[in-house]
Order: sequence, then structure tokens, then C-alpha cells
Amino acid sequence: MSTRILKTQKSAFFSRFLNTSPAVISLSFLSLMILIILLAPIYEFLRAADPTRVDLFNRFLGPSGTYILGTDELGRDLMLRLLNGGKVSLSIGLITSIIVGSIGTVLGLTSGYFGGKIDSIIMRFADTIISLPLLPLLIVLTAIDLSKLGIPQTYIDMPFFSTCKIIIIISIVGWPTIARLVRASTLTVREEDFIKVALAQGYGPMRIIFRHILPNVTSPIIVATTLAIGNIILFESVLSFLGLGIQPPVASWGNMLTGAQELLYEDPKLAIWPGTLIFLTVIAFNFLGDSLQRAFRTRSIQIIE
Amino acid sequence: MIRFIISRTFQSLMVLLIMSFIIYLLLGLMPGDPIDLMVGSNPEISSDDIQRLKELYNVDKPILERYLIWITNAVQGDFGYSRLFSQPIMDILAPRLFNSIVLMSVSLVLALLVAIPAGIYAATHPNSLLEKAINFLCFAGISIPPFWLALLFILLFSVFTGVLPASGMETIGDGSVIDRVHHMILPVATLSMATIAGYTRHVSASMTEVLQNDFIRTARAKGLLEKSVLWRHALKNALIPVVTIIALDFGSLFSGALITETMFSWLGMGKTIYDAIIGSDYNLALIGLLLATVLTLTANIMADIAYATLDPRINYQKKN
Repeated sequence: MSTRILKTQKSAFFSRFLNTSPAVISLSFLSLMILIILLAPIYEFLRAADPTRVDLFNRFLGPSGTYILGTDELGRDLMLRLLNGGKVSLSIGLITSIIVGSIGTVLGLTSGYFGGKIDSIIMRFADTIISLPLLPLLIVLTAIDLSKLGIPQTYIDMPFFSTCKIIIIISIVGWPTIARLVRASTLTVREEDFIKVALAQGYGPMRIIFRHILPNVTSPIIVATTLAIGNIILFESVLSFLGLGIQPPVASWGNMLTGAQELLYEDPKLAIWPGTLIFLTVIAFNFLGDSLQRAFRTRSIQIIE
Repeated sequence: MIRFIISRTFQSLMVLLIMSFIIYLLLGLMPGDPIDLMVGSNPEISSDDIQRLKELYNVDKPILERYLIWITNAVQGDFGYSRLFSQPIMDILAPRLFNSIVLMSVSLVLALLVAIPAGIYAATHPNSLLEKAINFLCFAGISIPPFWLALLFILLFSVFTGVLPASGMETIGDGSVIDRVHHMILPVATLSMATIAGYTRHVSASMTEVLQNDFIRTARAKGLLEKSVLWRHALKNALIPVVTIIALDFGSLFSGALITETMFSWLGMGKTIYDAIIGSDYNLALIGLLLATVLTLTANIMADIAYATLDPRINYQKKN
């Protein structure tokens, strides 16, 4: 009986979520794009094409049968570069959002549950990070020469390493927003009767936090993490655009735009395509987050009623 | 209230001190060594000279000692020289700070002029066609990469139509007010766009919340004109959190300004910091970053004071 109620509640939630057309459009757009990006290697294999191959005789070509979207300033296939760039930008967005979400959740739960000194230290820290002029500070972080910290140059030159660096740097500044939201929800849940019961039963703080509070604060976590993906992709694109994020020849949507300003007169399409994809992806994640929030909100109102 | 301001100022100074140390450490980890850079530009330098330079600039000392020497000088107003410009730091930063403040304040005023009416409209006409349009535009505004927006503006207004200049602050040899305003249009448009979207969402959310209050119902029940209810009763209360958010958001306004200035070659603080980091001018970068931090922290203190002044219900003595 109870599972049945749960099920109807769940399906009602999904139908509310899918009733909002932005959610449907965003979800289909993102799934389609991820699908195409995942299929890109097969296409590359079949056409024996290589997104990093330079062909100086075929620069700035328009769309054609061989090059669906034409070629860039080094004669590389723009379509293939966009798909590979998308793989990089989207993976950074998804991976970093999970990291940021986890750090934010743990710190937010700790802060909200224990209160007092721990709370004020964590929150002061979060507030300070939020209020700082982040972009200039991030630029300094990305520009650091890691060989001075004793990391061998061979590691630093690896593409994987520069990706990890960006993920870590964005994680450092990304957690406070989520931590604050989780803390706020934890504060309300902490006052509920079932927490008092759990306390009276002598459960430890770890068990109460993870077994009793966490399941009740999942909706703000999901919403905040979804909204974070968009912001992270934006941040990565800005850093890569400034030449400090993902390093060429690996493509990311941000670094594909690095040279675009000088080439605006020559070939505007090089500026238009990567930017359009960043914009559409970020707006899709933002609509998705917003629709989730609305769907969750309606659910909690209905439960209370 | 005064005690509150003093304690907030003290806290901000502590943050500034910690930030200065962190930034100092980080800049020490940047590629290259200032002496090597000097040596590189002068092939006739001898190893004795190098040693002398190292002593002069204290590069041979441990980092903590160097930091202490630097901060003692900085507190006394000696910020050192810029490597890129060969000028005292403050001579470079002062005019650029002014340029940034011009750009940011014009964009801020423009953003508020658009965001407040748009936010009120969205809050008072839920589910109308225009509200949906405003909502969509807000999502677009917060989702668009600011540097790409700048590229689109340049493409539309400079490359395709040629009506507005693509970069710079004035035409060389002209420099009249009209020319300067002409150069400001695209940077201001870029910087305000992202800001407008965020502010409109805040105003609209805050207004929606205030309009559900009992005193709004009372005001309407008294038979007040809707205009008076909105502008005199609701807006006054709705703007309190908005003012705070705007002041707290100063850091991101500065980040936006950095991108805008870099895209349009606007000689402001953000571009200077970026160029200094890329050009390994550590002294300039250090002071620039700290100045940006000071600006942000000041804006945050002002947010708290504004919050307390605007809302008489808030009493800092009691809580803190």
C-alpha cells in the first residue's frame, strides 16, 4: 500500500516535471547532443578523420560534403572539433558538479546539523569565497607553474593533467553556493520530530545526518547541482577562452573561441558555432534545474496539504 | 551600529591580510623568476650584477621573510615598480581604476534602470506573455558566456554594420566626449547584459514575496491606488534584499568587467590584472588583485550597512 502511494507520488512528480515544456526541450536537446558526441568516434573511424589534423591548403572552408560545417584557421574539421570540444566541456561540467555537489552537501550538512562554532567557521569561509572577485583569482591559480611545486614537467604537459587542474580549481570556488542551500534545508529538517526521536534512541550524529537528514534534503541538492553544471561549463569556457584552461591541441568549446576575435572579419562562423553550443547547453541545464525546482516545490506543497 | 561597522571592518582587514599572503605565495609560484626576466632582457649583465639584483629585490630570502618585507613597505605606501611599464604601481593603477569604475557604474545604473521595472512587471503579471518573455530573457542572460556576447556584439555592430568601434576607449587624436561615449556603448552593453538578467530575477523574486504580505492586502483594502501600493509599499520592502545582493555581487561584477575590458581593450583594472599575470609582472598583479579585493570587501561592508539602515527591523547590537 505504502509503496503504491510512493509510486503515484513519484510518477506525479515526473509528470509535473515533464509538463513544463522547457524541461522536455532541454532534456531532449541535452540527450541528443550527448548521443551525437558519444557517436562521434565512430564517425571519425568510418571517415578516417582526425579532429587534430592540420591541413593548411583547406583553411576557412565553407560547409561541404567532406566538412559538414567547414574548416577552421588551420584547416581542421570544425564539426569534429565541436564534437570533441563538447566531450571535454560536458565531462568537466558533469564531473566537477558531482565533486562540488559532494563537498557542498557534506559541509552544508555538517554546518547545519552541528551549528555553533563549526557552522560559523564554515559559513564565514563560504561567504568569503562567494564575495571575492573570483575570476582574477582563478586566473592566478591557473597560471601557477606546478613544476615549482615539484611536479614533473611530463605530467604537467599531459592533456589529462590540465583537465584535472581545471576541475580542482573550479571545485575550490564552486562548493559554497551548494553548501549554503544544503545548510538552510538541514536547519529546517533538524527541527522535525523524527530527528528528536532518532536522538532519543541514542543514534550518533553520523547516522542521523546521513540516514535521517540527507534523504530529506535531496531535492535542494539535486536542483543546486543541476544549476551548477551550467555555471561550471561557463567558467571552464571563460578560462579556456583566456588561454588558461584546456590547452590546445585538445579542443574545448572555450578554447575554440580563443583566436576567434582576430578572425571575426575573416570567418565569423568560427566564433558563432562554439559559442552557440555553450549557450544552448548552459541554458538547457539552467531550465532543467529550474523545472526540477518547480516540480519539487509543488510536491512539497501537495504533501503538506 | 558603530560597533558592528568596526567589527565588520576588522574582519575584512583580516580577510585582506590572509588574501595578501595567499596571493603573494601564489604569485611566487608563477612561471619564471623576476631576476631571470631582467637578465633575459640584458645580455651584458654579469653574475655579480645578478647577485646584487637578487639582494636588492630580496629574491634570495625565504618566502615568509620576503612577504614580511613586502607588507612592511606596502603598509607604508611603497608598492614598488611595475616590470612591464617601468613605472610606480600606483601611477599605472590609479587611472585604470578610474576607467573600471566608470565602466562598472554606468553598467550598474543601466542594469538597475532595466531590471527594476522588468522585475516588478514579472512579479505583478505572472503567466502573462510578457512575463514569460522576461523570464526567458533572464535565463538567456545568465546562460550566455559574456565573452561570446562581446564577440556577437562586435560581429553585429562592427564587422557587419560598422556602426560602433570594436575596441579601444577613444579614437586616437579625437578624444571628445561623443567619441568616448561611442566607444563605451558595446562594453557597457556587454557588462550590463549578464547583470540585468540576475538583477531582474532577484527583483521579481523579492517582489513576489513581498506582495504576499498582509500589509499589502491592508494597503489594497484601504483603497489605495495599485500604483501607490506597488511603488510605495511593496517596492520599498522588496528592494532591501536586492540592495544587499547587488553589493554582495560586486565580486562577480568585477569578474565580468575583467572579461569585458579584455575583449574591448578597455584600459581598466581587470585587463591590467590579466595582462600583468600573463606578462609575469608580479608586482602589478599583486597590487591589482589586492585592490580588487579591497573594493569587493568594501562593497560587502556597505551591503551590511545598507541592509541595517534600510530595514529598521534589523538590530545588530542584539544579534552580534
